[in-house]
Amino acid sequence: MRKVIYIPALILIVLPILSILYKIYFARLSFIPVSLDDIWNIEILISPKQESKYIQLNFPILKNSEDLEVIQSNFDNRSMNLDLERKSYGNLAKWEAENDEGETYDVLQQKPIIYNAKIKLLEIEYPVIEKDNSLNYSAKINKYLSLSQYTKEELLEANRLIKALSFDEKDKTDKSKDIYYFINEEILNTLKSLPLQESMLLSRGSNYNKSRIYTLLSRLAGVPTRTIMGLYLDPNQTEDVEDKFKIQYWNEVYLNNRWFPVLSTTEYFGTKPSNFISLYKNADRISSSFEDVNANFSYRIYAKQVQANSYNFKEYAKEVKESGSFINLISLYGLPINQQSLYRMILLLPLGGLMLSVFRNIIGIPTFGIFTPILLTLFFFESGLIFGLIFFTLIVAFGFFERYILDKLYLLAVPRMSIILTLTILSLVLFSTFTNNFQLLSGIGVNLFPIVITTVFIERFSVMLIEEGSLNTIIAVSGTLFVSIITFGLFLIPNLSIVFFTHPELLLLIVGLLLILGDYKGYRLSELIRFNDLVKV
Amino acid sequence: MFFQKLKDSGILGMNQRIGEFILPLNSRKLYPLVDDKSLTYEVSRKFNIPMPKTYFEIKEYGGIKDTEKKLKDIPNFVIKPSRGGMGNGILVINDTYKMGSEVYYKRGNNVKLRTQELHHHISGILSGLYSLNGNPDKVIFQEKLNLHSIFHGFVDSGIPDLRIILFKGIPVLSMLRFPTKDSGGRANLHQGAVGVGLDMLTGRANFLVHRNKMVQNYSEFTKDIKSFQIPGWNEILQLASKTYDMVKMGYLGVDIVLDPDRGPILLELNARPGLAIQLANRIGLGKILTSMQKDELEIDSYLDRVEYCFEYWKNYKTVI
Repeated sequence: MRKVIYIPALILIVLPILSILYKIYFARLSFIPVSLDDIWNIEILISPKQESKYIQLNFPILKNSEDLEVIQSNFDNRSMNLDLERKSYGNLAKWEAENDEGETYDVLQQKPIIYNAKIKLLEIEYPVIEKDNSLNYSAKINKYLSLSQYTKEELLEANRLIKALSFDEKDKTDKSKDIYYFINEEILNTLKSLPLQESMLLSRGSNYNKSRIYTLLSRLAGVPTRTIMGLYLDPNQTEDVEDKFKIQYWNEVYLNNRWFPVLSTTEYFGTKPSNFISLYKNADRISSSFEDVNANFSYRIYAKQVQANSYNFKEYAKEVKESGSFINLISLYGLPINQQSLYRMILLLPLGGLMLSVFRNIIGIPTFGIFTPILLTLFFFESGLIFGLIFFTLIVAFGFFERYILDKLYLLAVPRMSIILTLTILSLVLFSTFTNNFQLLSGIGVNLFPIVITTVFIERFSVMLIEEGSLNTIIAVSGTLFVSIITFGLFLIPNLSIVFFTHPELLLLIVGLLLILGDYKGYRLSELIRFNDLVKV
Repeated sequence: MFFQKLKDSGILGMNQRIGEFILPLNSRKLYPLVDDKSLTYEVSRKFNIPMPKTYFEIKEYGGIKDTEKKLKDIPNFVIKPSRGGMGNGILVINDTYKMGSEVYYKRGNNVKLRTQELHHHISGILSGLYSLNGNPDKVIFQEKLNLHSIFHGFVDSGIPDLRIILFKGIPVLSMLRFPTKDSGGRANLHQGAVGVGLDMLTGRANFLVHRNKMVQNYSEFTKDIKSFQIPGWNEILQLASKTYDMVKMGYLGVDIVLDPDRGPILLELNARPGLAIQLANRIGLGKILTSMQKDELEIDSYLDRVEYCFEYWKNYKTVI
């Protein structure tokens, strides 16, 4: 390689890397802004039942703990008297219909009490559970061995089950695991709510009963155990349940001086996914009113993940500003928000150019126009791949229409192509009204950008159709489509646009790589096929 | 390595062609002389290089209506875009005749065109449909050349042409391009014409290529191509080499047609000649060009350049 190429190329590649290292290690900035992926909005609505005349209503609310951080929360308490009971195992909100002055409030079914919270899920790393043979616990833990809440019949049935498990010789960790396996495998899931004793007898139980059985058996085996009341925030929860979430139950066992989760319904022992969040860690105290069909209230829980792939740009902008020095000069975080989103897209274009250079000069895929594939990628990006492909096919069809039907009318070239442009715009209009009315392809924003792109495309396409015939054009169209879909895939890599937006100096690195690519005089991969016959001779 | 076999065969690839030969050897400012056929024609007359006669040109839409008047005494002709590429937009008219008040033009493939259709084609060229960069273009009305009798049995319609690659004016490789039914009568390899490599010492046919595949014979040939030899090979190489004096491009494709009456005639020049000539000759162009480049040649006389070519091929040892 020539010096005049590789020296500048090397500088251009190293410079941005140094700059990024400086930012991370000296200016103490993070590589990209913090992801907001695991932020959820939770809404709990509690409504009294019409016929009930209750005095007090309890509901557990979210509490800062090792598995979640409450960013903000508020109540709409409908003028009821609110009292918050804070315990280490959970916060319980108590609404009273009668306040201290003796006034009473009407609580209407159609006017539920609303609790809102924004929380951040925290990942907990659980250690491997070692063997545990501890005998004595502090009073605080000891109460999780208490059996006083169970009836004689329940205890009798539970002892029968324990005997069947026959684990006299085992340590507490193994016992916990055995009970977990037993409940997971032997107690069948049912949605029916059965009394605890019956559940054990019939070997079937709801998620609630299974965790209650676990607590009971585990306590009998001498392991401090509690029932956890919580939520499973499933990010893939389908639309048709309207983001409604039910209260879930699982357990925690106290082994080796810490609590470990046990999810016998969803099959986790000693660890749990971060989207199982606990509401109340001593559920036996309050759960009965939640599982009782005759309870005097009903609840609905809604949860929505804050839009995926969003980042805490505001915070980062502040950090950049505070770090001072040269970083401020080349940071795009100082721009107005609407311009920022434009730049996030624009900064990917050079990357598309790099891809295109690889595809054309190293691989040898024919495309038409030089930047048409990149423009097409942007079009897909703007309008979504499915819609983009449908629309692209339509444009290709228009191109053929122009070549084989309009051509027969002997029109001048420019008006003829303008007709195609007009038809394209017309179909775009039809598409968008269609989608608005029928919700077929939801969320397609048509703006000026794709129109400019399609215009360029149509011109290139119809010229090529005339100059080189259908076969070569179709090959080039496929090549163009292929390159743009691959580039589209590349653009979809999470955080890529954020990385470029945060470190625009990376563009220099692309120039460096392009210099090296531009100096490549070797063969293209396609030439292996093209000259295959010649090599064999 | 991946490309070792290609490299060993000395094949010239697309990137090397551009990066090592076209960009450094073909000066940007000379491109119009090659890309614009009407300019090529002008220069060729200064250097006494025979080219098909240009009857007239149309530069504006207003000129279209005078076409018939100007074509009154010219029954056959070729319409070309001045800055077209790869044979696009070329229309060959074999005969003109009148039926009633309407004038009809018979194309090379026997399709009849009405005056209106001819005008449409001309206006398409003017608006730049066929021009290399899409800009508005001129239309050239050119003398139609005829098929030389030596090509009988190889060509159904259209006229074959001879492509010679020059390196700094020295003929390097050559091939004949036969129009076929597949190519629609056009002598262009990527449109389906058959390429026949020619021995550089004798002008004798050696190998065939069709659609990037090496073939033994071609079904439309009714005579044996193997015994085919171009007459007047020496003069043809000299004519080709002479064009280097006219356009000093170090890597140049010269297209020559053999006319039965006028002999070898320069058809056009090409600043970016294709790579299929390697398949037609079963020889890598890369190793030839590289070895010639080492000598840092600059030979002034075209006769010496052809002589250099003969010397080179006499000493050339085929490596198998």
